[in-house]
Amino acid sequence: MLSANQISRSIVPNQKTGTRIASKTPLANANERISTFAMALIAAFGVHLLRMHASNNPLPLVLEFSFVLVVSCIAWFRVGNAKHESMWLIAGSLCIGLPWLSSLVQFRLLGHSGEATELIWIAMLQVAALWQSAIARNSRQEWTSFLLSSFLMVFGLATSDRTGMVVIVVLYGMLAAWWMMSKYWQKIEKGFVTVDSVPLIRLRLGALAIAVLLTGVIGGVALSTGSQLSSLDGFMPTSGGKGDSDPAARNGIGDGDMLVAAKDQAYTFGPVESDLFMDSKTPSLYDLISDLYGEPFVRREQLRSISLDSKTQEAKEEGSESKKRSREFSAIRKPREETASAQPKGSESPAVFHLIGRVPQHLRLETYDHFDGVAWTQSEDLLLNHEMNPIAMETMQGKPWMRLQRHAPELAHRVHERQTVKIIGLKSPRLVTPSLLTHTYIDKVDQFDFYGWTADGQLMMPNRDNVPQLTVVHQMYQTPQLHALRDTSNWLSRIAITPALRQRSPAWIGNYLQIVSSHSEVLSARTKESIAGHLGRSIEGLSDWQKIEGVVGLLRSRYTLDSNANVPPECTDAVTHFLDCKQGPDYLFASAAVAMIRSLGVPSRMVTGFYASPDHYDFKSGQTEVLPEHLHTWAEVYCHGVWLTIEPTPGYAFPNEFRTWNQHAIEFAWSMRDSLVQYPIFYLLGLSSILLLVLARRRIADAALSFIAMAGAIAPPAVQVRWIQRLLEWRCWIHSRRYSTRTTVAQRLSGQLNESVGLMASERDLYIQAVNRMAYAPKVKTVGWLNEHAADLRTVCWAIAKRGWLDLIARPKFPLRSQTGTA
Amino acid sequence: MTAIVTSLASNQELHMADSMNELHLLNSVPLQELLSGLRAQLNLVLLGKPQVVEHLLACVLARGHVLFDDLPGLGKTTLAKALAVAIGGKFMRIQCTPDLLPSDVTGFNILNQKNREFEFRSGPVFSDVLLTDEINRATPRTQSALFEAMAERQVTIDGEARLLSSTFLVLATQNPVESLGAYPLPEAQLDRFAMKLRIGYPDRKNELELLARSSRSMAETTATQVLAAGQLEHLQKSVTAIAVELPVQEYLVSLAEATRSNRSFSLGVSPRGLLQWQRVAQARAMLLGRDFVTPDDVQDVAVPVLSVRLTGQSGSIDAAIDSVLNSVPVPTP
Repeated sequence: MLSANQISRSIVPNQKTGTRIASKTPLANANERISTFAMALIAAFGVHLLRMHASNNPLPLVLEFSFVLVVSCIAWFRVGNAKHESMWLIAGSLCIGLPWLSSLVQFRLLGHSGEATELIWIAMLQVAALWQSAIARNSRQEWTSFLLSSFLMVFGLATSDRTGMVVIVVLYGMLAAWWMMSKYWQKIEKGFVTVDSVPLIRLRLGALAIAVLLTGVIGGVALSTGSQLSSLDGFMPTSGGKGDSDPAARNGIGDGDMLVAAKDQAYTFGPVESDLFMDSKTPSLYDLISDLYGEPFVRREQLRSISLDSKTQEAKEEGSESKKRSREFSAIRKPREETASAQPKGSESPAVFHLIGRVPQHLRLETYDHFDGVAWTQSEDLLLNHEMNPIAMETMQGKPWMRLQRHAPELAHRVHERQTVKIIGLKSPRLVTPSLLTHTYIDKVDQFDFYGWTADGQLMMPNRDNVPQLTVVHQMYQTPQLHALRDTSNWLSRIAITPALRQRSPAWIGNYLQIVSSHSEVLSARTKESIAGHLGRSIEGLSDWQKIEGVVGLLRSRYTLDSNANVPPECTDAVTHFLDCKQGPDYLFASAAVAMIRSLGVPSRMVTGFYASPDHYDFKSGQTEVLPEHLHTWAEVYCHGVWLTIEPTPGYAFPNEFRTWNQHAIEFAWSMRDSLVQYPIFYLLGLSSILLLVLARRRIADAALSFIAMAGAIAPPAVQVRWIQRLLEWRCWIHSRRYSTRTTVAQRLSGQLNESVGLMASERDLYIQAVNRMAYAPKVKTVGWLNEHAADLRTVCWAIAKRGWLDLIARPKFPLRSQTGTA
Repeated sequence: MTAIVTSLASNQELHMADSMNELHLLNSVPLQELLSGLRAQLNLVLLGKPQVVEHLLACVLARGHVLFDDLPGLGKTTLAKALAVAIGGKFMRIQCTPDLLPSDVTGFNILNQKNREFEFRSGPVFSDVLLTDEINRATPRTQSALFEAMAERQVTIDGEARLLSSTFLVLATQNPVESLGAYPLPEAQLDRFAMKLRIGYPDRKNELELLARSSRSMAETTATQVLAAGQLEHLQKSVTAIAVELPVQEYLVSLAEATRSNRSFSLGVSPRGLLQWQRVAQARAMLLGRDFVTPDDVQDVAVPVLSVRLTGQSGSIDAAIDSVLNSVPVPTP
């Protein structure tokens, strides 16, 4: 009989070892679970704040965050219960996609601008970290969550310049330091022989105190104001700045001009009218055009030999000056001079305006209807402002919004998107607008006569030289839905103005159908031929919009954008020249597109404006900077009362278009079909190789594993045996064989090795004994035994590893049927 | 009823002699040879039941008593006799009936008329292998007398404690079918047994061989002696040298906890039962020539060890034990 002492040792589980072996206890230490979850929560909260700062509509974000919070809290409390575990796991993995989903809902259903892709990715990472910590069962999962959270902290939040973030980062840092120390303690505690735990607790508390103190001091230094730091002038390498920063700043920080210009307080106007801005040179659109494209050639039609009297000469020059300033765009220009820059370099922001809203976006400023082969002009007789609806005030959310236009519901998606434009430096009474603008609102402006229409139908501020600088304009617009235009059975698809139709159309339509008369026949034939050539089919039976898309596709795919390929000065037909040499700047693309579309009988016009590029999106401030070089020229097509943007220039994104899910799917299917027809061999090869890979996946994986295991043949016997055992486990996993938890190692191995041919019974028993010994025998004896049988074990291990490799070429000997181990 | 008269003194002498011989015995015959000899003898007598023989041997090596829960005529007595012969001990048998008295089991003092002194007539417990047939037919009083002998390996008669053989082994049987007029063994007493075994009917091939063997000769097949005196005790001591590492012990404890929390059982495994379990697992490892216990050993003996001491809804005990084994994950390397 055993003595009482022996009984207690063998039966009563050791308290310390019992809790520390992770595989034994279903859940990790409760304290650590709490702290891991708390850290993930802090990180999640920080990331969420970051997103709230960047977003102008916090409600969906708050809803999303509360949902994620509730789900993960429930999961955290319930993870011990084995019931419905898989349900929870599924719910969690769905949660990870939630930020993406919420962004989608925001811009598709609510008409908000959505979120930046980087932010969505970060948010998804954060949800993953939170979820991982909520369901963490062992130390490894906790580490994963911890690393993810720390990554977010270091790269997402610690670099932020918001003051609130410092508190979060410091809090997180303290927790993280404590967490890592406790993990480390646990690791080395295993090596302790004594069971005495009192000094450990004392040490932990001490370490915690030190960590708190250190982070507190560092945080305090970081938070301390400039006055404390300035006492160290010349000693510490600080710039002595005020600690302000501005994402838009390029050259130095805080020299005072920004403050005077009230750039960081958008709604103040005061300093703008001060002397400082009287002499600042704000460029007009034409300065920008000349900067970007070069000066137009002044063509002298005839020699002027008669000298005019000074008065007449003055009048003539004035006239030409005014014409040039407001309504001409020459397609023939001098090469650009790189040095020319109207803007003085300095603290002044180079931006023309800032945009908060969806990008890429085409923002229209001016349009042209008449083309004489060289220059685009706006006809004097065009008076579209009389055609526009009267501007009316509509109060929405207590703000005086001006309703400007209504668009045909068939062509404009019902959801209104919002954007905000802050004018920085452009001298023009015109406002930049998206094509399907519906409402606008400027703070405190509640009189509709603040707005008006130009002769070409562009929104402007009448009786002013220019829109005041730093004006913040909120706009609502709709997204076009073009499906009806493509569908030949829909009456809306008929947008070409036939002679019969022209009788009933307003007179101004004629302006938008004008073609350089000498080339009209040639151009018409050439256009139809080119479209047919590009689409690879006859254009009969195509809707007008599809023909337009053919023109756009042709220009985008067969022509190259080259901003230095100017048209020679003596040329009289810039479009024909461009169509022949197949390269040119964007205004030639637009000109050619308009000419070709008009030759199809569809009214269209050339548009100058700005292209807000996603490359200049600044995610900290949540806005896009639009610079002078974003000046861009494109075309618009008139369909049933709305002007739809088309983009013929390669390298610029297609304008936004609303598609239903169906249409997306159909379009994807068609594009797949097109590429299938184009590269059938490639698809065939790809498909068959994928099929081959799928069919032989088990063998390939098996071979790869065996190859790795064979590489382990030089290792000492203990390592070798373990490698081979892992290989066998993997093989089982590959062949989707599952064992119940009660299957012992020997039972599994005898099953696995029976089937793996070429192994004698004695060899198999030797290997099983080796594995058993390593798992369950005293270590001292095991080492000796392994060394004694090293040679035999090597042979056996080699034979097992080789098996999988041979199976790749020969018939697989490893049966795929599943079975549980037998005794 | 014959009896061996062994006094306390002579028993001690025997012990000393054993320990003197121990080294010699160990060196002369390897353990495994002795074990395979025992196994061969028992398998020769009980055809086609190597698993039962293995369990019985494990139980003998672990110094545990066996309860056969089986129908008559399946070879229990034959097996017990063969075991007694093979381990070189004295075999006795008691047929239990309600009128069996404790003194019939343990022995009694009787007045010798010649010299007017009490002299001790030893009972059947003074043997090496005692077969107790239909133990549930004896009265509780008689049963408890027997249980003292099983647990303490001593009997107390008229206030005088008498030691039994150090390798004393009880093979008890009970008939699961006829329960009328029986005194079912209480749980506390069942715990004295190390195992409950079932022999079961032989299969067709073995039954044919049994018939063939019997037709040729009148005599029953008998075993021959394998162990010399003291060798069994030496074997039993060697079992303690089999290593049980921490993962396996934790596995045992987890299993024990699982039986205690399982609702199919009215009572879980006691610490005494757990000790038996470990010892039997050690014995099984030794039988297989291993010097360490693996979870296989623990699982292999789980059903016989647990079924004797766990009660619950009858008939479902084996399934419940199986569910316990399924619920506890095996410690894997």
